Amino acid sequence: MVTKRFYVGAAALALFFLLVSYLIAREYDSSKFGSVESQVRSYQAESEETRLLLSYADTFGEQDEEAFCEALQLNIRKSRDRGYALVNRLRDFERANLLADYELVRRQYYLNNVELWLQSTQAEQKCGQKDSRLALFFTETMRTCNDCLVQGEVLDALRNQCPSLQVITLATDLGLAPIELAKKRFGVNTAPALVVDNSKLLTGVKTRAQLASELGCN
Amino acid sequence: MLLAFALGLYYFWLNPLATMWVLVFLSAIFFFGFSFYAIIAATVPDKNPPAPKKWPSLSIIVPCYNSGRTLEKCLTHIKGMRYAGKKEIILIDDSSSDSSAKIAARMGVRVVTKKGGRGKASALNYGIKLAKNEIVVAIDSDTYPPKDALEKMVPYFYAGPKVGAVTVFVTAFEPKNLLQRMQQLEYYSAFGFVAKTMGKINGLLVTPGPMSAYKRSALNEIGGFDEKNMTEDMEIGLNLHKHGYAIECCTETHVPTEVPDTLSKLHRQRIRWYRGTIYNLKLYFHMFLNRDYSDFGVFSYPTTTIYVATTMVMWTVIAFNLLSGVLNAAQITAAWLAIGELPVLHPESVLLVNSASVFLVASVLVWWHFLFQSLKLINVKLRLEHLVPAGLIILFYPTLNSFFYFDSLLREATQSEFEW
Repeated sequence: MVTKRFYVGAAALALFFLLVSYLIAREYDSSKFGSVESQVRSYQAESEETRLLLSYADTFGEQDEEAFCEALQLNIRKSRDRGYALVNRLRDFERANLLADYELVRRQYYLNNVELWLQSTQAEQKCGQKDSRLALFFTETMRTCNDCLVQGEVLDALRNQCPSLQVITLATDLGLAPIELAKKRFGVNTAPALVVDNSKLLTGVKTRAQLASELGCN
Repeated sequence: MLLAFALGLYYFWLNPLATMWVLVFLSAIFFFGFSFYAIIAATVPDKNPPAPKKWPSLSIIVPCYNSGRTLEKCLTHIKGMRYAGKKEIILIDDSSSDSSAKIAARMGVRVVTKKGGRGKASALNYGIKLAKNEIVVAIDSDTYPPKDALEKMVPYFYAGPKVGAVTVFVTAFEPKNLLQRMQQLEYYSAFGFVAKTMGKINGLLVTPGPMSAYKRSALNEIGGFDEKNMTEDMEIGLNLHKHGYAIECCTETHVPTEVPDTLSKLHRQRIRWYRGTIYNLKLYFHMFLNRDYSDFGVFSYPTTTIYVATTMVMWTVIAFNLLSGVLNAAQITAAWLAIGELPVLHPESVLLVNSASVFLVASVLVWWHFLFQSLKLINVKLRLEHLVPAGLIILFYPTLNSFFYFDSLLREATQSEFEW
């Protein structure tokens, strides 16, 4: 005869299994989240170093311009590589996630991308050297944008082919104020869109050949 | 088409949020069910009924329709079953066009040809009318019972006050391909530990068609098998409960039966099973949570209904995800082709284990526990050859079964013509 104690026992045992599974899933999510979060922090730390370099130059002037520019460009390159490696990781980890909240880390990442863009522009203004091309890649992150996905892959391939190309990804759908300003500045009202060297706007999906030609990457 | 399906699966795994939560929900239900079985198995003692002082007489009825391929082996096994009491074997030939009747006659079995060919339930009822003995054992013509089957089953008729039927541990006969090996594992887990546990609380819904034994007086009281029913073995189980009869489960021996060897045959079989399940659950819905039917009404019937419903929910979610995955893949592929390039895939994204998989893994471990408990019952050891089907059954079978359930529901809702 099935009595109430069977139901209570079964419910308790089921809750135990659920709890154990939940704790393991939470631990797994936290470890993935922790790894992305620490990478975003490192990315932010590198930007902070660049920011201080620029601030130092603004405060005291550049006594050794060559050393300053070298340090600045090295930092920006490091930031750029770290930031670029993070974009797919952030997307994939968030999609495989059940319990962690990625909203803040996602905002931090894209805000840092804005900072990297501004620092790259400042570095160019201060050091005047132009050994790389800058492409701002405006993309959607929250909803499915197949064209954005394709354009991102094309840019990835081009970036491997052309190391002097600097691609900075800016999310158009997070409502981040600096990105909204940038959109307005460059007239971006669709995704995907590319802004080359802070001036030329390209909209829609471009082929690798088209982009190589636009970005002087042959 | 295959490429679209593969791409759909690829993108489905990339965007599985809804499915993740469905998995968690299904795991919760599964954990509850498992816990229930585990508690019953641990606390309710095994019945182990002793052999009766006087073995009742029994009539073995073998309904048969064009069973030439398996009949000789089946009858050899049936004739080889030991039994201390009186027994008779009657083959009901449901107007076969092959040599089934001749084979049976050659083997000295009483053959009764039934004109009209109205299906298995009708053939069984015909056999019940002819049977003169206390117990009626129905055996499919593609089932090969072992020597001790009757000796082990019959004592269960004395395990309780009003036992109407005794079921047995049905297994897959000598699986040859992967699909049959998967069914072998499915049969082990379904007809072994789970059935035994349900039997302890009189919770069995089905008296499996391959081999089940009935009290003739009970069959007469309830009017035999429902001839219009697709799954007469389930209907009779429910009808026995309705009339206050208990169904006992004997797992001390196992009875191998032929299982479908192709996907299309499996599809046809499962449509019949699941459509019949939906139909019968509807037909006997008054038993749902009805205390008049004791544990059967309060526990077994609702859990089966919930299982069917959740399986269909799971299919709906998976189908939706697959469809959106296929559409998404088509759009992405179109976007790639529009710029004259081939799609780039990142297998590492797919290999990234989803957190919801933890719940899936836990459910699989629970299922493995069921499986091991079932194998222990019949002293079968899990071998290396079981590993691949065991992996595939976890990945592939729930989706397949969900699809079969969904298909059955659609056919039942539209009242499409039934194929045996």
